[in-house]
Amino acid sequence: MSATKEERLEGGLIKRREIKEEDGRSMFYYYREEEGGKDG
Amino acid sequence: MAELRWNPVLSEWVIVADERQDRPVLPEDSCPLCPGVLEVPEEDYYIVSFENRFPALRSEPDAPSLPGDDFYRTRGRRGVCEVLLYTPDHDLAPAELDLTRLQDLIRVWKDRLNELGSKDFIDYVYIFENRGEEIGVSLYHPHGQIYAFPFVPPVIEKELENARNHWKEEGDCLFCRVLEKEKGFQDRIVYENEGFTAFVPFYARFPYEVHLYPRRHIPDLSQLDGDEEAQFARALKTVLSKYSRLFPEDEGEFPYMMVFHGAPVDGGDYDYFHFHLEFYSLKRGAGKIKYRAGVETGAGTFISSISPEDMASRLREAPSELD
Repeated sequence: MSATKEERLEGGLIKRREIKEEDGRSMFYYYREEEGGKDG
Repeated sequence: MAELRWNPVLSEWVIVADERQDRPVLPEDSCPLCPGVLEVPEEDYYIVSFENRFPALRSEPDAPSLPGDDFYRTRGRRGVCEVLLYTPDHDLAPAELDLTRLQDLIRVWKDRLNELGSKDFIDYVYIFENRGEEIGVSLYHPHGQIYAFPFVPPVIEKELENARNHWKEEGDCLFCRVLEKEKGFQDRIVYENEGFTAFVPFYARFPYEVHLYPRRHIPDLSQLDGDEEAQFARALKTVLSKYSRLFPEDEGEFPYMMVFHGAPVDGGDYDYFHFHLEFYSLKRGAGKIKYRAGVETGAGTFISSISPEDMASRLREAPSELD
C-alpha cells in the first residue's frame, strides 16, 4: 500500500511523505512552496 | 545475524547487522542517489530523506538471532536509519550548496529530529555526514545520514555525564565555559558570526577538528530561531568551504566527518546540554593521512601531530567562498 501526505513547514518548505509500495520504506520529499514542487 | 548485543565490559551496545555485507556493488558509472536511478524514483527532487535499504537499525526488526541471557544481553535492533540527499545535483559538493538550500537543509534536519524523536522506541537522533574516500565513502553525491537509536550512544552519554556534573558543581554550562575560554584565547577561533562560533578546541583529537557552537545555550537543534538558522548556514558553508580549499595541491576531496551532538529525545531533562557540531578529518597534510591505530583505538588516547593552534591558523588562512 502506498500513501501520500503533505505538510507545510516553516520557511516555505513543504514536506511530502510517501510510503513506498514495494518494500514499505518511507520517503520524505521536501520542496519549496514558491518553486512549485521541484528543484530550487 | 542481526541484533543489539550488550558489551558488559564497556557498558555499551554493539549493533550486529551482517546483512549489510550483502549490499550490492553498483556499476562505477551509476549513482543510486541521482533522481530516477534507484533510491529516488522521482525524476527530480529538492531535498529528500528516505530509509536506508540496508539499515543497521530497523523500525520493525526480527527477534534477535541469539537469545542472550542476563549477562550477555541481546535485543532487537529497533531504530531507523535514513539517507538524506542535499540536492539532486550529483556534482555539487556540500561546500558548494547555496545559503538558501543550506538553510532549508537545516529546517529538514530539524523536521527529521522532531519526527524521528517523537517515536516511542527512539532515545537519540544522530545526524551525521561522512565525506571522502579516506572516510570510506564511495558515493560522491552530496548526502548525509541519520541514525535514530533506541539508546543514547556512548560518546553522547559521556558528554552528558560531564555536562551534568559541571552544571551541578559549577552552576553553569560546560560548553558555554569552553566557548568562553576559546573566545578569550582567540587563537583557535576559525570563524565567528552573531549566532555561531567555529573553533579548533584546546583538546582537538583529530586533524583539523573543528567544533561549531551556537552562542546561545540551547540543548538541541529544534530550538534554533530563524536568524540562527541563517547564521548556522553561513557558518556551515564557511567551515566546509575552508576544508575544501585547505590542501589545493591534493587531488580529490578533503575527507571529513560532520556530526551533530544534541540532547536525547527520551523524555529526560537535558537543560544542561548545549547543542553543537563536531567535524573531524583524517588528513593531517597534503597527501598525508592520520590513521586511527592502536593507541587511539585500543587505549582511547589520541596523539595529535599538529597543534590545535596551528590547525586553527591554517584554517583561518584557507579562503572561504563567503570571504
